Amino acid sequence: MTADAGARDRVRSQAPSVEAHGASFDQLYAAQYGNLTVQLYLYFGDRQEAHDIVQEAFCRAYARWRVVSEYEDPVGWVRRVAWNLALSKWRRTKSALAFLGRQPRAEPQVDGPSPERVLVMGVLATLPEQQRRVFVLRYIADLTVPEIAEHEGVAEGTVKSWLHRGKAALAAQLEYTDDAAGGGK
Amino acid sequence: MSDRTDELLVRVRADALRDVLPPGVDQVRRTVHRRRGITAAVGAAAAVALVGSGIAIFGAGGPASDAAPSADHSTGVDPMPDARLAAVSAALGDPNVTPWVMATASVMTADYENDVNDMPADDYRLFVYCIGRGEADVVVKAGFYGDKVLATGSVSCGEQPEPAKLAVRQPVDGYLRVFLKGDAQASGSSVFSFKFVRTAELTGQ
Repeated sequence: MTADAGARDRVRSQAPSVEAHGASFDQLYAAQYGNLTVQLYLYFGDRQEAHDIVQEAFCRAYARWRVVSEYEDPVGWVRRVAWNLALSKWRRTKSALAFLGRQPRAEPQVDGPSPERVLVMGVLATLPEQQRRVFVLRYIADLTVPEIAEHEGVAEGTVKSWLHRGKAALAAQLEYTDDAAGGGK
Repeated sequence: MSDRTDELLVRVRADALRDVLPPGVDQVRRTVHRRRGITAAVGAAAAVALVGSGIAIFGAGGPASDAAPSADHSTGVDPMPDARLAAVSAALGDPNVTPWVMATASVMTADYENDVNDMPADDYRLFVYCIGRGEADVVVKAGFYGDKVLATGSVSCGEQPEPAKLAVRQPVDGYLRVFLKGDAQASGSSVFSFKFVRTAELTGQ
């Protein structure tokens, strides 16, 4: 803990009584942690980073759950905070600090990614950052085009155009893979 | 082909989801409680330093930001002496007299960034105080990414800080970001605080 974090926390004048809302927070966490993590994982290509960011977003939600729980869309709030963190200096700083010397954390062992996941992540990696984010928000987070346009601050037509390009890139890679395997159809 | 890509994406999402093992809500609770515990300790130290002045800086300051960073956000920055923390916090004034919407304090760095969530649309005055040496550029940007600048200025550090005052119009409810760029003298040694006060609630500042 640092003075910076302490000072920021210090200005919270009304600590929420989170225990009173514990059950619904738990439900939100259980229902959404995985979805959010997958979105950020496919965006970054780094599962641990996605875990860290989503956990931090839920910490922030929990710290002010009395307020967040009253929002019309608490999931949307957590998603926004998570994406904000993903794009912010918080993430870059934290990554650098982790790289510079903390002990590696024990990450649960899971099977390697499937060939299909590798293919999709390979295609996503070729997309410009904002197009990749839009693609993930549409096809992994299931947001609508208007929601994405609002989220990204761009026109709906722009979103549609980017989605089309992403889908075309994916389709082309699928055909290429089929051809390479001699099983194109 | 579109159906095929759609099906592929559904499978990939399900496949990736199977690998996600949440750390759990207990860890969330532990993290938040730990941060609050440290918050209380820092607050107590500053309050002790201010007993003689009769100034209450921790109290009804209005709704605060949710810009809490991770616990290890700025590891490597020099520890902040209690006395300077108290001084730079005291510079913010009494929130019972002039309520702030959000305030914070920290060690100056060359690339400080604070993401402020849930800032209501309104006109504000941003007060930035810096104790120590050197100076820093201040930039406020709209939203949670992008480069739409809402205000810019600079603050000089000193032992009796004179605040930089920036007019900030938050156009819509939501995020904004505060960037401080301390110069070589200020970074790592000076301390700062800042607060957002609604213009309508300014009382002679």
